[in-house]
Amino acid sequence: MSECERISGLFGELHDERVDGETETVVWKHLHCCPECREDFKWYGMTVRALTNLERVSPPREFMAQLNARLHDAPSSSFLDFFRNIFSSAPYALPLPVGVSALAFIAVAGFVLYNYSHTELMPSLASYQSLYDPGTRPNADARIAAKDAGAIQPHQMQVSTLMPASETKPSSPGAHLPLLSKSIPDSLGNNIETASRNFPTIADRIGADNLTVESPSIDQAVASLKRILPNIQGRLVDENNRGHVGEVVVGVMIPSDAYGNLTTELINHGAVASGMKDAEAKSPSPAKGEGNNVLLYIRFVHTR
Amino acid sequence: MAGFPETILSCLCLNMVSLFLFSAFKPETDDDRDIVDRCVRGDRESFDILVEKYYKKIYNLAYRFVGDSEEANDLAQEVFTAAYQNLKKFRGDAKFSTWLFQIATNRGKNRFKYLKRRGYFANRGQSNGEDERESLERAIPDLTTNPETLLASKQIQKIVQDAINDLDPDHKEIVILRDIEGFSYEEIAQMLGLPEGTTKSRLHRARMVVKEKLKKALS
Repeated sequence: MSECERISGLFGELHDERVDGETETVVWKHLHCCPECREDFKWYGMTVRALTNLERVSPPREFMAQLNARLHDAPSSSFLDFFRNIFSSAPYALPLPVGVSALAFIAVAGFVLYNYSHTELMPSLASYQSLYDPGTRPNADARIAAKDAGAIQPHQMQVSTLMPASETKPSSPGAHLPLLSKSIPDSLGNNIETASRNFPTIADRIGADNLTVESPSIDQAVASLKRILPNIQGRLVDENNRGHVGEVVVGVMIPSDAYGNLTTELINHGAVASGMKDAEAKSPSPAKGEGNNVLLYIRFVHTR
Repeated sequence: MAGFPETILSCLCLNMVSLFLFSAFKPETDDDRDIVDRCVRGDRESFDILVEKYYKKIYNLAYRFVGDSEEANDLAQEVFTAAYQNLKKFRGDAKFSTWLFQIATNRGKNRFKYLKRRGYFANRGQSNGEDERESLERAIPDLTTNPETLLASKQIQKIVQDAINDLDPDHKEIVILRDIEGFSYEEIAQMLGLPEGTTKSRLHRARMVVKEKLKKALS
């Protein structure tokens, strides 16, 4: 960059008197010696004066009237605008940090509400949990051996394990639930889906009148159950792991004929039932049903 | 997860502190603040006071952007309409006038780009070019006369306005805000969201361009 270019770059600051004394001396010395730069600086000053002296243009007389008409026609802020600008507008002249604080507050409130809702705002779930709590269940001490209950009412049965009683660990993932015979009659028809749609969601309806299965590996037990469902013409209706941590609740739609086979298989593998008397255990009846189909909820819990 | 609420609480506290600091060290007062507040609360007449106060300046700025009375009239009205509709968004971080001129600058820049894209300035130049050149030649200023008189002449004003029209929008807005409207570098930097150094360098380049055109026209 030549000296002239450097000096030319300082014209603005020199004109606005924003250069320090030393620089000013250097610039004036150069301008004194360099007629071209001196001429340029003269034109620069003239240009700035021309710009600052530009005549102010007046608006037309009807400006205010036209503006008033335009403002009158302008749409007022809509309901949606309120939400669109909820964090950017400042009706109380508060700056941006308030918007950030509001966001943080909403996040905290949401978090607290979410936690609170699990324990306080869902009484049905809480009652369901207390119902299955072994310490509070009224008939917990009335367990009987499952083998004595050849045909038990499903709403009173609790299966302690899906493994054979002699085994303590499953030999394979499929060993948690034995495969049922394919000879189970095909009595379901096409109304299974319709029937399943008519039932309430599992989380709302699971209660004491359905099965509880204890297993050392819930995932494998559930997987085994899913595998055998096609063999008995059944299907999975719902699956939910809400409630206590480590519990899974599944809803299955199976033919009523297959119900006894399923429970027998479970019992033969060491299941125990609780909460019933011998007399009540004589007449099996599914928890809920429609036609020949049974909707059964099975709750899987870890072996205690 | 257990520490989450404490973290949020800390953030909230920091926000509150920054809010108080912001309020305590607010640099300058705004004469229009009360009027704006009244207007936000629904007092339509308060906005008329603001219009009355600024409409000439806004019109002038609009005219310098587009170089035409009708377009400037429309643009200025658009600026006030936009300001009225967005008044609730005005947070008061800057003065109302700064905020209003910021809207005007943005709208002016956009309008200028729009007109230029549609060949508005080129068409105008072609239709009047010959007449204006003759007129300018007849009125070529006598450089021996008083410079202020010379600069005040209609022809010089026309040359300067044409030179402004030829500037690119980024340079034009700074020349208008600084040399024509007289805003400080700090205010311009705030309005345009630019560093002060960038504002100064752009202004210098813009002045040099106008200078060359003025020099060429008058020499």
